[in-house]
Amino acid sequence: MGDNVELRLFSVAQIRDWLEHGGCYEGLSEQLIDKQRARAIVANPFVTDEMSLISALYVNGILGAYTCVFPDEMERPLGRRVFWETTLYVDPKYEGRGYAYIVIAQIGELYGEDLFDLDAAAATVENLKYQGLSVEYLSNYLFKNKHISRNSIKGCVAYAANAIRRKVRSKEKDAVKEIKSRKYSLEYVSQIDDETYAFIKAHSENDVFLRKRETFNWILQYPFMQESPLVGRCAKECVFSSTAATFGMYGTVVREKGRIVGFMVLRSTAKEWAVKYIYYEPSFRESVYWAVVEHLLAYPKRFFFTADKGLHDLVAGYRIYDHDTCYKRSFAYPPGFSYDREHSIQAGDGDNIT
Amino acid sequence: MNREQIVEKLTPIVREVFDDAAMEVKEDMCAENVESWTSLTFMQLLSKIEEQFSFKFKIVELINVHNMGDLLSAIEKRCV
Repeated sequence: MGDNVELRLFSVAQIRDWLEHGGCYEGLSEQLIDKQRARAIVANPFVTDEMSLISALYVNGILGAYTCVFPDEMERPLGRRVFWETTLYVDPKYEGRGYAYIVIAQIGELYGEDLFDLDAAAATVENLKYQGLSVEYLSNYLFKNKHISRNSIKGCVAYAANAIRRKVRSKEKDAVKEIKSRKYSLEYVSQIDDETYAFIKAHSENDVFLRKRETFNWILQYPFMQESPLVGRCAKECVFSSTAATFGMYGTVVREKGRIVGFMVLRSTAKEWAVKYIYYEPSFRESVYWAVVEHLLAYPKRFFFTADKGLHDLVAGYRIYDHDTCYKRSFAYPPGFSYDREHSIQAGDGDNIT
Repeated sequence: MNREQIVEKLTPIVREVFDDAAMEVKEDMCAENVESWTSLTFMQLLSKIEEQFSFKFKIVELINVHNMGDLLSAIEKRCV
């Protein structure tokens, strides 16, 4: 006898109810989504109670696959409601049954005309193409320092050799000198005030997706970031949870002569920094880049990601990392939307709750 | 179109998608017993079937497709 397969959609109101009641409520449980992430979803500034955001497939009553979307708005055309495909999961034992297709198709039936995805896994990209979405590839840069284990004598020697090589090769001293000669100041903020928002608004005209003050505040403050127990999904047996050992978002304001000349959102995990959003006044672009370098030197991590070519060139030029590479990430968009490469898609677009 | 005719039309698609020129369509074929049957090849298979048979699967038709036999039945229902 075949398996009994059931498909369910979960709305924001149901997620809210489950958060209030706890346990397993109307088919929602922590097997599907952890509470921190659920709280992040219901706090999204664009959600409404009736919006269905999770499509889940159950095999004989057990979760077999799911996908989740969250709403957003566009800068051009202004205010157009869109949905980001964010997570797709299929229990490996059901691979090849088309369950990924089914959960995405269910979401596609609701939001197909407005469905976007950024930096999806190859299988998800194929699924989205099958749903009629077009795909282009955008550049992203990854900087990396070698990881050398010091658990053996050989490892210690290799570590010392690499440290000396890095010292000789890196122009870190020059970078520090340059930072000291600059007049900017760096400030970390946990919410967007009037002045910062006015600055973002004035410098985000080229963006494809709208970044309202509420969106940034949601990103900087949502409970997923602040309360998540931050354990691996396997350990917790919760497929929709954080896999990072530490996870944080940092709003960073750069000032020169007292006024804001740049704003960034930096994401931190245990091993990496990533510039998710960056805005600057064109004539102070270098100062803003140097502020990023200062941050990277002050809080070193093994990896650094940026989609900003100018920032990449500066960081690469000072050889602060052992390697850098450009890789392509997918941008999937619905029929009827035409993507003009002159307009900017920020690294954090579509990636706000992962 | 009967099941035999569907199998005949489906065979070249299956051979192309699973990259096996000698593959025969069998009712019990599925991800567990066909090595090249993955989520991606399954999707390609669906896409080629839709193209060849000129219809688009609905979610409800695919939800209980576990093997080639189920897929043949889903196509058969569309081709009556």
